[in-house]
Amino acid sequence: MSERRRTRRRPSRFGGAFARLSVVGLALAAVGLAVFTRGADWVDASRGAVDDAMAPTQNVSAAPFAAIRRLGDRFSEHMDVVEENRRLREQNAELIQWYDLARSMIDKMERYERLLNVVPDPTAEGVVARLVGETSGPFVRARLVNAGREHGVEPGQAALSERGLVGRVVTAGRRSARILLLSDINSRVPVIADRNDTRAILAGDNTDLPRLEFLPRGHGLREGDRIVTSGDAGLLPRGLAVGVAFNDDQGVWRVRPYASDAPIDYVRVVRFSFPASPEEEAAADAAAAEAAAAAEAEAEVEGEEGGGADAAPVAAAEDDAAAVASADETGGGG
Amino acid sequence: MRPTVKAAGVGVFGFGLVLAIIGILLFVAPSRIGGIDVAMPWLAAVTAYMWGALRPGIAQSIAAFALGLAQDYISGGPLGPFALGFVVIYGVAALQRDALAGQTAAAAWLGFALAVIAGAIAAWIVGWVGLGRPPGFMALASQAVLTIVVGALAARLLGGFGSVGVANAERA
Repeated sequence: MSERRRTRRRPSRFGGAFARLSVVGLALAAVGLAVFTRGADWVDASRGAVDDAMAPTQNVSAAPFAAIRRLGDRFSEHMDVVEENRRLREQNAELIQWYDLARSMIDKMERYERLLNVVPDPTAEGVVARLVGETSGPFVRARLVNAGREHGVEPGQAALSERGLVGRVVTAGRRSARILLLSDINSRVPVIADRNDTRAILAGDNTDLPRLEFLPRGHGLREGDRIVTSGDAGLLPRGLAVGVAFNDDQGVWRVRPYASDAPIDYVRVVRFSFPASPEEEAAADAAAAEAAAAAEAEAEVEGEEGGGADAAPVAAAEDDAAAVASADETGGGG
Repeated sequence: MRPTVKAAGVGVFGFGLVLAIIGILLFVAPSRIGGIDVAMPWLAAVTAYMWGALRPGIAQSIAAFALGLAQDYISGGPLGPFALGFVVIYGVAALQRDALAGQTAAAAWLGFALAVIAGAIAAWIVGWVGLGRPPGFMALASQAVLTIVVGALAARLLGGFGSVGVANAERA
């Protein structure tokens, strides 16, 4: 009897049949989630709120890594201080020449633009945000920043470091936003080579060096060509610095992003509004004209209604004036 | 000796949950040092394994799923990969219980490594489904390897891998 009881009391290997079934059910639920939430807007929308709530906590969890990074940076700076100083002097001398050249080119270009009556590009305003969270895993490469809709950040806007394009905003909460990096597997950015206007799509593949896809045949791209955003598809403004093109060991054209040259602590989220298309402008004009006509018609109706109420005194006054006029005429004739 | 098993189970659930939450927060912390992305281990996987190996149950399996889902959600990736990965790790741990009874900590660590590899493969496949293209294999592999290495240290907070063999020997 006691033996039987002991056998009965012995916990099962898996915690019971229900526990076993729950594992199978949960595994199926996970697969179902992956299938049915793929590309679902509500997932991104709800993430904004969660990111808002998580941002302060992530600030705290990021602190040890930030401290280690700062310590490492300081150590390496101290080790290389002499060499760094020499390099900076050389670079400074070179940059002064470039600065003079750039100034004269800007003056020349402004003169030409005035002469040709060129329509200036719309100016892009921005907000600077601090990085508080980071994901560089196999499924996503993104950064969480501490600025959101309250600061004018909206999905689709470009995020730049001091060196170049970092990525674009994919979700925006009230006080936080998630930036999809150029290297993320889902990132696709239309780009152009500065030198010969070769267009391509910069596609992330979860490596640090995104690929150039859909290059035209005989594109003539060269190693070291500067790659900037093309502004195609109305995703990002044209001309944002992206990186340098190079051909890897397997003959695949890739880009070494400028932004990856230095650690990113702050990003500038650019608020850029594209000019409306002629069709959109025509539709807006038509809607405005319709609204104006409706307002005019309404005013007329109101005027008529107002006229009906005051019609009797006005008619009486007109009759009096006519009577006075006829009496004058009669008197004058007599 | 029975209270030891029970106490281990209760302690593992509570401490495990705390460790897992800290692990998820660290997983999404900015960890780029010297221009290099530092792979982050899945500390919550250690909790899922210890739950499965020491005290499996419906609540633990749901909690493992919830931890994985939280990691998916907070990291900004597709929903499902880590949820499935952690459930697989939990399930493999539960299946290993008899085999690990009376075994050493090293054997349990080997069992943990197998569970993490199984979980990583499951996560990779579901990640492919969720993304529509294969996820970064090397990034996943490096995280899995780091999880296996760091797992031995993290498991010490939950009684160590040695407790798996002892507790299951008592159960048997």
